[in-house]
Amino acid sequence: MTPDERDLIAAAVAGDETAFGELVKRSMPRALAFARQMTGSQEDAEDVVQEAYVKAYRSLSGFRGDSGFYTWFYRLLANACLDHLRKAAVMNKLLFFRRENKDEDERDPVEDAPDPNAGSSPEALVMGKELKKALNRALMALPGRQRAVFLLKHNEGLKISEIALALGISEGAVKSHLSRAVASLSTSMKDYRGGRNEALR
Amino acid sequence: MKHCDNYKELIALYYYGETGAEESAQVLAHMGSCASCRAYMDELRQALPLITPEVPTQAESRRATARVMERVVKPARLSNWKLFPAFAAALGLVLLASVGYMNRDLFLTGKPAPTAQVAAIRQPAPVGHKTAVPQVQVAARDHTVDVRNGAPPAPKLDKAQKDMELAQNMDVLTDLDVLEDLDTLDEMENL
Repeated sequence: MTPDERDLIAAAVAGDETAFGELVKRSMPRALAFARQMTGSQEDAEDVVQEAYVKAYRSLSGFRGDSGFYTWFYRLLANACLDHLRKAAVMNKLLFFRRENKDEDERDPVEDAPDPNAGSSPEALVMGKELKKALNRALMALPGRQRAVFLLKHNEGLKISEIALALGISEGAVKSHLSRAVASLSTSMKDYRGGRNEALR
Repeated sequence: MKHCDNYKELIALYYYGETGAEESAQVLAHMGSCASCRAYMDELRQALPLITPEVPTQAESRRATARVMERVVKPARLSNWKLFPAFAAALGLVLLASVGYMNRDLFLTGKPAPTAQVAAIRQPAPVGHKTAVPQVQVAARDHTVDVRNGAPPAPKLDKAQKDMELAQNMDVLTDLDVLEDLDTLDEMENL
């Protein structure tokens, strides 16, 4: 945590809205990226993120400032995402006919993401894109908690102990979720390659 | 093979640098002698870097930040329920005002107006009153309309109220479902 951030946190805890706004502004890109991969939709991500920040603002007095703002905020955000997934699952169960065409309406985050292979041969480019798509589908198919653990480790680089704290589960459970998530993703890559080789034959 | 399953967790942790010196040495020693686990590590090294965060655009972040701050700084955009006390207070004022008008009626005509306000709502005031103080009567009637709209339990629930009740029941249903059903399901999937 930088001294600058420490000051901002202290000011925000003391009720300074501008300081809180600065903390929100700084952490927003990461929060949105995380929520988008958790919920699978830009719109839902914005709603969940907003709820989490409003909750954060209300519970600022309980924040002792012994960790960075974002580390503290993860707890609220990750749990808001998991709550959202649970509610969405229930609503889909109750109104199972409602979201049939969801996939067609949603903008595909993988298509929109910048391609790291830009500049290579068109064929490799298409292959890389398709593989990324397959991996993203596999990521979205993971159970919510596995996905949260995976993203907090893979994208955010949190330590196992920090993830355990954020999600309120044991370190053993975090390790097991992480290893399962990784195994599923690796299987989906193998399946994708296998399917491709079959098609080429 | 069962043996290797135990190593898969360690390999995933090793990939993310979450193994201690001893565990790392174990993983490396095992991979040295196990082609399948070496292949697994290769798969992870190929697949995992392809999963990257979808960084939002600056405009998206700015918009989302503005939305948060709008809610935090100006909690003025209250929900209907939060507005209820204010609404009740306004209703009280209207009631007082209309009672005031009734009394004024009494002063001006020397006769009591129809006693209860409810009577004023249901029956038109006597003709004599109307001719004596038409302005006051009109005003009084305007206010009694407000009273009728805001009056607690009307015999029939209107549609909006029914909808709200339905939505609240739905919430209860959702919560129960989450508690009883989905958590267990989630746990089972995660185990």
